[in-house]
Amino acid sequence: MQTLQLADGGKRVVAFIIDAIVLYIAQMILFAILGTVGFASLSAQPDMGDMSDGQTAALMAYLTGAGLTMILITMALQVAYFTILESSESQATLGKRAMNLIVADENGNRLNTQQAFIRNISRLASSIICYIGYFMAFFTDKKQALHDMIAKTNVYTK
Amino acid sequence: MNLNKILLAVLALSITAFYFFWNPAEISLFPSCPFKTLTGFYCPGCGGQRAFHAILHGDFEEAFHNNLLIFLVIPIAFYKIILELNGSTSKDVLILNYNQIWIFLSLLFLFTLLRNIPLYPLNQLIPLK
Repeated sequence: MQTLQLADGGKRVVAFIIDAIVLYIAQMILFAILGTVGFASLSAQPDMGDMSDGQTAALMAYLTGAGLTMILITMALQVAYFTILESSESQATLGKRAMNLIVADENGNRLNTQQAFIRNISRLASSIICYIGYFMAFFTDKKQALHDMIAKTNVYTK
Repeated sequence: MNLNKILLAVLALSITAFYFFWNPAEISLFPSCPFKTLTGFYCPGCGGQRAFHAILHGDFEEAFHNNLLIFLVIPIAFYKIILELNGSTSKDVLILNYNQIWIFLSLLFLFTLLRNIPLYPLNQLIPLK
């Protein structure tokens, strides 16, 4: 096995931005399709002004449900993208591949799907504290972000 | 000077200039904090941009109200950037190990908890509108 070096925070930021762009494009395509279907199913509704209270409430519930579904789909898509690619043979997402980075456990071994899933669901913890969990990669002794520490993983340069 | 250092310097200066001229309290450019939107509670970063803007204009009191942590973040970020630009080898000064990180996260959690208690003097930690 070749020797692995811990990756620079800067390179990881660039890799993350590339992944964010890829995911953004994928989400826009998906939402364009879902949005078309959603609005098509709404087209038979009367005008807002002509609606009874019950109809308005039903429409609001529909839109809220659609919004929540979109949030859930977005999160699932992100977790799936990172998990599948980081536990794949290349051990890297498209952004990480472009920056020559790989994800592995603390001993340098390839992650299984479960480890990769824990790493990427933990991004939620890194994000919810105003992304401080991500910035931790600049300050921890093994250059780990919070989600790396939770999943006991690390990002290396090839 | 290699390309990375030039990029870092340009980025740091442009972000600083951007926050000097842009007042986040008047015109909002970015989506509001998802944690605040979903839960109604302030996250540890809430008010950070407003605090940075205030501190660049010398208004320390307003910076304190918006986000206390700015007084910690700016010196650390400044020091880190200077170290990086100097190519210094003594980068381990600000490096934390596992135990220190959990202490840091606990303090962060404590700050988040305290700023969400709407009682004097803790309500002084709530960002100004």
